[in-house]
This record gives sequence, structure tokens and C-alpha cells, in this order.
Amino acid sequence: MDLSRVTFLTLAALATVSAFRVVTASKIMHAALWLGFTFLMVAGVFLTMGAEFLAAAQVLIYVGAVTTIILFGIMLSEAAEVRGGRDPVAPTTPKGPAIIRRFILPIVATLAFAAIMIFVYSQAPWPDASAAPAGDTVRLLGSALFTDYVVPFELAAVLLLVALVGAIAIAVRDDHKEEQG
Amino acid sequence: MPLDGDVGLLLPEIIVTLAAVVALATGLRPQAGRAPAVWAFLGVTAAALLLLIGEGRGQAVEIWSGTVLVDGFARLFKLVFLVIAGLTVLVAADYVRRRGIPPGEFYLLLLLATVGMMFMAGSLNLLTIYLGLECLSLASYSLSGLLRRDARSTEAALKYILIGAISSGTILFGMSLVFGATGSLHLGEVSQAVSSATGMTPVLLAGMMFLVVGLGVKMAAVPFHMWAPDVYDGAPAPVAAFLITGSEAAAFAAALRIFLVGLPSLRAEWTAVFVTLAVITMTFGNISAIVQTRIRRLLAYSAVAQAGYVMVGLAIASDAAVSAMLYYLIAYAFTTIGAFTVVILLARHQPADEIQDFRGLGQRAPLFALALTIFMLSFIGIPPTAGFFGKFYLFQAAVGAGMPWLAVIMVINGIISIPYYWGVVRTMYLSEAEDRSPLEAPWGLRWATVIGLGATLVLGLFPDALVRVVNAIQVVPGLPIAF
Repeated sequence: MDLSRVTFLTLAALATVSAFRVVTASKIMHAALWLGFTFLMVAGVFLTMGAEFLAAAQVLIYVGAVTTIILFGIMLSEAAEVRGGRDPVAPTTPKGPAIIRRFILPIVATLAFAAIMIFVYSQAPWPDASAAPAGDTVRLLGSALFTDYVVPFELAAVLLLVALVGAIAIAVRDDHKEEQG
Repeated sequence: MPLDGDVGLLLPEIIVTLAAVVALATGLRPQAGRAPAVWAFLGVTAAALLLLIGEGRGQAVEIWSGTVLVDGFARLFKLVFLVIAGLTVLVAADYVRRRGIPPGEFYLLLLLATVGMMFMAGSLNLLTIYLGLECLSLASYSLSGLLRRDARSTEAALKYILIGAISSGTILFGMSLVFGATGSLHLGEVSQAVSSATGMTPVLLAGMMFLVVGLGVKMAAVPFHMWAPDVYDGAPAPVAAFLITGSEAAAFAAALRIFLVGLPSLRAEWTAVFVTLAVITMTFGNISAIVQTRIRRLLAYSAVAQAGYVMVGLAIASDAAVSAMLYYLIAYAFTTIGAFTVVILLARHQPADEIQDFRGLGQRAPLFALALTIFMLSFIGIPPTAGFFGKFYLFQAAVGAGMPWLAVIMVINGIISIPYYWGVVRTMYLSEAEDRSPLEAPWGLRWATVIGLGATLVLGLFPDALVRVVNAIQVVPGLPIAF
């Protein structure tokens, strides 16, 4: 096993573990920090596969902007349970059938899924990974985005507009406009 | 690198996008009045007219380096989406004002959701299809939660976004497996690569299953329907009608393209999966609908059941089945929007969540009660309504494909569905209302009902015209891979 394979597996394992911590952390602040760490590990995975531009974009946008905004959102929130301290849904020890539902069933499902996917991946005659495009990946990406993929690119812009307007429409505060009926 | 950039064939999408932005801008003024609704309606109408009379009819061309495909299939689906959006605007005009929904944002999200659906039907490129789907999904999540003081609406939006995000991830995983196995995002090249590659079948099968699950969520197929009753019940009523008809039709359009064009070599596998899903979906939907007492939950489970019928067409996937499916989707869209219009009308005057609230509607609003009766007949599939021919063609396709037992299951399901649809009609005519004052209807609701009723009856009495149109539709475009 060569070094790049070891690096890849280490980064991927770290990303998986920290992603798991995002959903299991009891404080939302910790979850947000784990999320940032996950993004960083994914950027590392991109680097090991020769996608330098994607890795840089991942660090700048996800680690830099997205995580920071989530942290701001948490700190500016007025709801006490969001800002930390108490856990609104106190963890309880499940009993009886709940043990099956909350522990055994998810574990069995996960293991079965992992087994199927490993089988599927190991069966396939994957092509050699030597076909990485030579030269300047940023230039290649840029020209692909603005020539072959210009319609999906514009559609992504529409998608961002939808996300922006949708988020504002749901989150905006309207004190004076009362709904009737 | 030269571009075969043809803007003319993209004009309908561009017009709808522009109309959405104009509707948002006019909605920003404090006294917006009707302006956003009018702009939205004008944009949708202009785009639909352009599709009907514009250039490039009757041919299949792939433009923008194969990221957009314009053919009969895409054009018909785009037209259906635009009609659905137009009817939704008519229905919503009064609703939005009365419930204090911000009009600019509402129409922008509605129209951009329509743009997303148009790209889902109008491409053979998985990237474009996925972006269209995300456009539709994100708009649907926020549209569902626009009644912010209504706990049901918030619950609907939250459930929808959580389950929808997982389904998007699933679709993306499936697409990435297909891409990994074939090295292309273009469905035409995918199918060529599949037929020449050996040993990739397990990966493709896994990708296919992910795609089935992800699209199944959008179609509200059992067992991926958990979000549907809550969303169709809790979202603003026009949005629910839009999602049941438009979002579902878009998911079926994308599924037809992905499975028939991209993965025809796995046909035996996906047919088996879809037949199973179809039977479970229609049976579960119909049986759950029987016990509902809330009208919109009844319509929600009925929508799940109808998705099961449509899926029969997807499972068989013969030419006849695809035509039947298109017919059914179109007929069902008019019927559903019509039925929702009557529900919205009643809810204008009183809290009308329960089926019991329809008591005496036959006296209070005879025209609307009659219309709802015909819509219910169409849901059951009784002639001379559009729903009858929709089901009839699906039976025919099932028998023609050598699956008569599937037709039998559909008939049994039709019989199961009679009591709950008929219960609504009985309540309207045979129970006395406490409040007998006649209902006033704003013009938007009136027109939407008339159009829904007219289309349901015309498609039921003269099905031949539409049958000719849908029979001419080819899911697999006969064009060479252009690059």
C-alpha cells in the first residue's frame, strides 16, 4: 500500500468520524465545529486525488465561509437552547423495543449497506486512475464551465436565487402583517 | 471552442425566469396588489404560447453541448408544467393575499420551481436534470413553509426539507455511480457505454437502485412517501396542488428519461422494482385514504395512490404504456387542481379541514359541488371523465405487455377507492349545512374550476385528440450523439 493510498484512507476515515460527531454532538456549537473539521478533511481527500482547485475552493467556501456563518448564526440566535447550555431533547436510555429500534436496527442496516457497497465496489473492473487531465486544472475547469456547461452553470445561478429568496421568505420577521384565518 | 448556443429554443425558460424576477420586484412595493400575480401569469402564458407556436416544432435537437434537449417529449412536458403553473397562479391569487403570504416571493418561487421542472424534462444530461430537480426541491421546501404562523405548514416544510435532502443525496449518489461506471453524464453515452462495458453491472445496479429511491421520494411512492401526507395537508393549498401535479409529473419525466434512455439494458431489473413499488403504492394509498377524515389528507393519500397507477406505466415502459402515462398525468393534473380549487373556496369562508365541513355544499355552491362531484368521478375512473380513459389506457398497456394480473390489481384498487371519494360527494348533497349562505367565489377560483372541469370533461368525451398527441411522443429521441 503506497503512501497516497494511506493518506487517502486516513483522511476519509477522519472525515467519516467527524461527520458522525456532527450528528451525535449534544451541543450545537460542537456540531458546527465538527462540521468545519469534516469539510477540511474532505478538502484533503480532494488534494490526494489531484483536484487542487476543488480543494482550495472547499477550504475557502466551506471551511471559511459556511462554517463561519453557521457559527455566527448560532451566536446571534436568541433561543437559549440553540446557544448552548441545556440540551432540549435530553438523552434517555431506551428500554424494551426501543433498543431494537434505536440501536440494533440502525447498526444492522448500516452493516448490511456497507457490506453490499463493498461487494459492489470490489466486483467492478475500475479503470486505472492515471487519466487525470494534464495541465492547468483551473483553466480547464473554467473553460468547461463557461462553454460546455454554461446552461447548468446558469441553472445553478437560478438555484442560488431560489435558495436565497426561499430562506428570506421563511426567516424574515413580520411583526405588523398578521395572518388571518 | 465553438458553442452551438441556441437561445431561441431556451426562450420559454428564459421568459419564465424573467417573469419570476419581475414578479419579485413588483411584490416589493408595500401596496403590490395584483401586480405580481399578473406578471407571473403573463410570463407563464407567453412561454406556453411560444412553445405552442414557436420555432423548432416537430424536431429533436440537442443544444448547448448536449446539456439541453428539445424534442416532442420535452415540449409536451414543459407545456404541462406551464399549464399547471398558470392554473396555480389563478388559484393562488386570492389565497396569497388573504393569508398574508409575501406575493413577490411566492410567485418567484413558484415560477422558478417551474423552470426547474422544465429542465428536468428537457435534458439528457444528468447534471442538468439534477440541477433542475434541486431548483424544484428548494423552491418546494420554502413554498411549503410560507404560512409561518401555521404549525402544520412549518411541520410540512421541515419534514419535506429533511426527507428531500436525503433523497437529493441519494439521487446524487446514484448519478455518481452511473458516472463512475460509464464515464459520462450524458444518458445517450451512458447507454452506449453500458452495452459495451462488461463487469460493471453490479455498480450500475446499485446506481439504479439509488436513482429509484431518490426519484421515488419525489413521486411519493410507498415506502418513500412519509413526507407526502404532511406536506400535501400542511402546505398552503395552492402549493399542495402544484406539488401533487407538477412535482410528481416532473419526477416521472426525469425517471422516464433516465431509465428508458440511459439504462435500457437493466430493463428487467427496474421493471421488477417499479411493478412492486406500483402495487404497494396504490394499495397502501387507497387503503390509508379510507380512514381519513380531513379532506386534504384524503386528497394526499389519493395522490399517493394515483402515483401508483402512473408508476404502472413506468414499469411496463412500452410505447403504449408511456402514452397512457402521459395521458394520465395530464388528465390527473386538471382534476387535482380542480378539486383543490373547491377545497380552497370552502376554506375561504370557514375553517374547512374536515370532510364534514362539506355538508350542504350542494345547496350553497351548486356549480362548485357539481364540479367536485365530477372531479371525484374522474379520480375513481368513471366515464365520461378524463380519469376513466387514463386508467383504461393503463389497463390496456398492462394487458398488452402480458401482465393482466397488474390490470386486475388496478381494478381492485379502483373499487377500494370508490367509498372514500363517494363519501365526499354524499356529504355535499345528502347532509344539511348549518350555515346555508351561498359561497362567493373570486374570479381566479371560478376560472380555475371551469378550466379544470372543462378539461376533465373534454378529455373524457373526446380523448382522441390528446391520444394522437401522446402517441407521437418518443421518450428516446432518435438523434445521433452530437459530440
